[in-house]
Amino acid sequence: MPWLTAVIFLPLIGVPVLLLWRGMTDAQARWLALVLMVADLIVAFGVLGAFDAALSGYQLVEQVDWVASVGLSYLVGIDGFSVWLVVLTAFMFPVGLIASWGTTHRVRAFMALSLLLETVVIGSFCALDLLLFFVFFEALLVPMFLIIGVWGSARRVYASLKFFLYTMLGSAFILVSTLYLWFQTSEQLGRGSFDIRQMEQLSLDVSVQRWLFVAFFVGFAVKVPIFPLHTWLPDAHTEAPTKGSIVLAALLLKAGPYGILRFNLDLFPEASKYFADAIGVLAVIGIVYGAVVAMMQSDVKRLVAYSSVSHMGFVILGIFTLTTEGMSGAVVQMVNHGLSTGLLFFAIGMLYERTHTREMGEMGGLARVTPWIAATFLVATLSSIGLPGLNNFVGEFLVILGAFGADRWLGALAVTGVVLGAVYMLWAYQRTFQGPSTERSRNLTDMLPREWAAVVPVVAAMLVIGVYPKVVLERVNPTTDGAVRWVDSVEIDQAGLPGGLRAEVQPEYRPPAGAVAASGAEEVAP
Amino acid sequence: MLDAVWVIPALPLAGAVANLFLGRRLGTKAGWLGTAAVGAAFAVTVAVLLDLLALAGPERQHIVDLYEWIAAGDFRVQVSFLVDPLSMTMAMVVTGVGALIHLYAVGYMEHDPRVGRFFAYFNLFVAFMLVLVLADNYLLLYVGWEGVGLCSYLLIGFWFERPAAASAAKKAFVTTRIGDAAMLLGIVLVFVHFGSLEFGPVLGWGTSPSTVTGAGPSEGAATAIALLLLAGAVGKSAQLPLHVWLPDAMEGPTPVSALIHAATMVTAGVYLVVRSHALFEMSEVALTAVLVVGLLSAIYAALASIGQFDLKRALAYSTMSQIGFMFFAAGMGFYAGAMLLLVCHAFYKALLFLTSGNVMHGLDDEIDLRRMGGLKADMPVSATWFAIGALSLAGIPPLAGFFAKDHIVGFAYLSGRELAWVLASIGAFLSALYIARPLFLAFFGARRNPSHAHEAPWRMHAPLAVLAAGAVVSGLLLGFRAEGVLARFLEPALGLAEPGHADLSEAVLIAISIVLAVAAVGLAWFVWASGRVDWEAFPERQPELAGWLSNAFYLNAFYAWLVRAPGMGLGRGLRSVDDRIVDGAVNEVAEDVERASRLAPVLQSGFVRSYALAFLLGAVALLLFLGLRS
Amino acid sequence: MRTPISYFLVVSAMLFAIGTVGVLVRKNALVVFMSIELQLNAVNLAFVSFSRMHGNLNGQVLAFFSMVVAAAEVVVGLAIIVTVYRRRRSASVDDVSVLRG
Repeated sequence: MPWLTAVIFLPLIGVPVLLLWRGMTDAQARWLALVLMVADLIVAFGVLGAFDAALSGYQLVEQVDWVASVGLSYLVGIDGFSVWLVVLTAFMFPVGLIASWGTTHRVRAFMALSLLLETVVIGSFCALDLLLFFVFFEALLVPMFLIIGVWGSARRVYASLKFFLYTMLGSAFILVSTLYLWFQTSEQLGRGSFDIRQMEQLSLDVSVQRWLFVAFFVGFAVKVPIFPLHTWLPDAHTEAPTKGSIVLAALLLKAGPYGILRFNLDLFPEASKYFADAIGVLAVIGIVYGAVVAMMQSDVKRLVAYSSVSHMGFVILGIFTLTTEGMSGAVVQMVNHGLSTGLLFFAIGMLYERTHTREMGEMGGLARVTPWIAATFLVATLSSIGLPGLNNFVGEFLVILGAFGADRWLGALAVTGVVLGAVYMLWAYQRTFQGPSTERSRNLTDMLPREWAAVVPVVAAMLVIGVYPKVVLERVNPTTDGAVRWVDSVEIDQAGLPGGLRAEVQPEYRPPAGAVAASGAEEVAP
Repeated sequence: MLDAVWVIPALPLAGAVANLFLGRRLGTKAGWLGTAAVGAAFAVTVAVLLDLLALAGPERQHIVDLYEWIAAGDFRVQVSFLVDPLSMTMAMVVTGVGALIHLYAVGYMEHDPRVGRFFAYFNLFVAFMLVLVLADNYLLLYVGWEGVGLCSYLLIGFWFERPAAASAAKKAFVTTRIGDAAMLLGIVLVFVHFGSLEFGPVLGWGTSPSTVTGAGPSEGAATAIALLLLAGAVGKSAQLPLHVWLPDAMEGPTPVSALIHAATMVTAGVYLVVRSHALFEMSEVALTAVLVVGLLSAIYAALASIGQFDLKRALAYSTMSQIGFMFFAAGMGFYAGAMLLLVCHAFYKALLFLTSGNVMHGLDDEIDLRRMGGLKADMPVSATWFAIGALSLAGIPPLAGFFAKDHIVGFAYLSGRELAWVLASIGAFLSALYIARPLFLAFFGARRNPSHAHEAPWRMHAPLAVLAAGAVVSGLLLGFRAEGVLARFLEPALGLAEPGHADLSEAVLIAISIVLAVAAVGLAWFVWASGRVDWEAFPERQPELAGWLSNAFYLNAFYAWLVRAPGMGLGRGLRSVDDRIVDGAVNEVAEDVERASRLAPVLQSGFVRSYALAFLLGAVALLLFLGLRS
Repeated sequence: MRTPISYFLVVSAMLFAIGTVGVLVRKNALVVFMSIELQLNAVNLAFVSFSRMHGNLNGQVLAFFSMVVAAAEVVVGLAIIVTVYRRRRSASVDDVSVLRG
């Protein structure tokens, strides 16, 4: 069964139906989208079942020629880096949909865009063809742009344009580098290809590798976002509708670190090693900076947006510890951040629907009127400040452990983020839910059944990862192990790479069929 | 039964879950459910303890592996519990005293609309506390450690409508988190140096099956690890310099103060130090740090307690002082002494807090000692309980506190630390003074509150009676001598401390100790109950001294000054940097592009004529160019 | 006797110049349009002349092309002008400068 194709394109089925059938009622549109998303979640669990936890290479690979003349193909596959992101995506989309269930403005279009977005998000996590990835990666922007721009709040146009242009600019670097790599494959391997399994066999000069690394890194860093390229995020989060915020925080932000894991480490191991320290410093600055700025926000959505900057700093730090602990921690942390920040935005969305404000100063005492919303927010808060027993702790601890192995001081500084996190999140909780009730907080309804239906699975997932993280880690570890060995096998300043080295470094790693034949090694060899 | 040790924390956890979701439906029954859960945990603990006692002394150590928790790369950590004398001692205190305080809280909280939530949090606390004391590795211990912090946060802020309670809760969590972050670093360092987080390999038992991959720490590394762990302990146990949260934590309901902020959670730091004593012993610096922190905290808090007129804050400082004594004992290597004081303190301090709860109940939440007085007429039973607790703490023989404290103070002398002994004796004298003070102020002397106090119902007295019995006899039973029952029970885990020989005989030391305690109580009676001293005028006569004492030497204000303004300044500064410079640069680029594009419309007039002219001129120019070139 | 080619070219250039001036100075869209036609036909004349001079049919073919294009242009252009006139009650080109930047 073509699991990945199914999981990618299943949601897309609903798009033409929603767009063409004009007589559809809003309720029907919502239910159609929800059913498709839940079905996709089931397929995603099928993917999880078909995934072999013991392997470190790409699995469930499907390849169909697309534009054969330039070596562009529909090539999808997953490994430990992406499998959980696929599941997370399929998991958070229905949650986000429920959060925006009450939307009444152009419902059919909203649902169609949501489904389209799900397809491209999952697609970008599965693509192994660099250009295919780029297509998905760029296609993310369009539905997101529309969701923010049409269904957002007051400054939605500014925010959506900023989001679009900023990330588009970053992607331009990736496109240029992609083309450069294609020419290299055509030169060195005899046949142009966008298949990253071919690309990683390229032999590149050290300086070229570093330039390409920087180009890719900048492109992905905007998406992460890494300090100082983060300022689009608070605006986009603040203005987006709840569903947009959830998808943005839980999934789109993951495309950045995922790209770094998938492409930067894989294609430019020397440069990854060379820049690791500098990026580690940048990540730690982001952790502390994001936390301090978050503390000063009065708009609860902006606060959470800055907390994302801080948390994503942990992810980047974990990746560039270049240790299995740190990198596995980073991958887990990506999933964790998706869950906990998604839940935070969900809770904020519930509040916004009821109080119509995002200003914490105008709320207060809500725990009395809406105890379960308060509880939801508190659980998400506790998770996000790394309370052991909940999901984030596992990732954060592994990242700190890895960072300590790499550089004591970075690890120590990263821990200050843990303290600051408690300060701003609990302060936010206090301002929003504690203290005397305000005028706005009278006569609000507590959580509705549909909201329960969304919150309970997320909290359950958070508990499972916190208490029994092995489910996640055992599928991630072989891949991170392989990636760490891959990067470790290269010395700094080592020019180029002998073709096929990756298979030596990682015996269980299987190069694609025909890779050697297509590499043209035989022809070049005397 | 030993393998079923995981049931002990599981029972209160189940109680917590049930109370969280069914609390509203259960109503007042929630309390009984919570109490039953902790009571059952106590029963299981007793059963496990009996099984442990059935083993021979050196074999009293049993590890129960549940499952692998986190694994990545070389890092592996299990969810596993450890049954040994030390963990069982702690578990007995937590479940035993915990069950009694739960029982008391059933009466105390019955009129609160959110009683279900209260018992959910309360049970959850017991569950996490049990995880803390039963854990077999540092990371699982940290789970409990943070978990009790969370419950402390939730319970201090239980009446969250009061801004003071909400702020106090946050302050407690954040302050302890500073210590916790250091502790987390310490745990990471433990792994870096030992290659394991399990107590066995790290603390050198060598009985654990897992292999040690690290080379073992140098003395510098051991010092770093121990000091970082100490920072965690100091935060949780409210010792100098991270103590500022404890007095504010009294905003929580009184049973919370009794259980969390007196009997159990705040003693977790002592447990950590005692548990990790092998680590601390690797470094002279670290042990000395424990000793100094403990001694300073003991004296500092004793002085601060004397300045308080808020009954619960006085007791809070007293707790800090008592825990200081425990740290002091641990710093001298007298771990059994620290544990004995921990156990006895749990009894009498819980008793004192719960009795003050009775007083608050009887006086409509009056907490100011200046508006009490002469209560023994209205509340004779409560007065008795308070007197027992206070005299026990003061060290009047043969009550529990006498033995516990006397061993520690005596040990200081016998191990050749004369200066420490003098200071500890002063601390002991001050302890007796500060605890006799609220006793006399509240229950003796002239009546200063017009309203008639009513005695608490029997349900609330029953647990107090048990605690009072403990406060009387626990010292006698468990620690009649320094190498008493408890010390010998703990010997497999902690070893026996060996005091050196000294000039003064033990009898002389004991005599000094008794004289000091009695003198202090007498002095307290003279000042605060005899009516011959106008203590109420003291703040006017000595405003400076009174201010220093009642504000606990202004450390809180000092921290606020140190942290608040610079912290807010940094935050505001970075925020404006973010808005103006980081984001400003982005917007600037966008505006520049826009400005540049504004030049283009000049050419786009909309008049076809101009376009045609431009076209023509262009054509002419082109022709001229081509013509001239050829 | 053959008329010299230069005669035709001079006429063609004069026609083109008249047309150009018309396009540049007149406001009425119809007149502008007629001036453009004048320019086109001036060019056609030049094409045909050159065709005759070189003795092949290339110029003739091009002239036909431009006539066809001119015819198509007339169709579209007149339609636009009529529409504009209906809307604005004016056929002045200055009134339809709404596409300025």
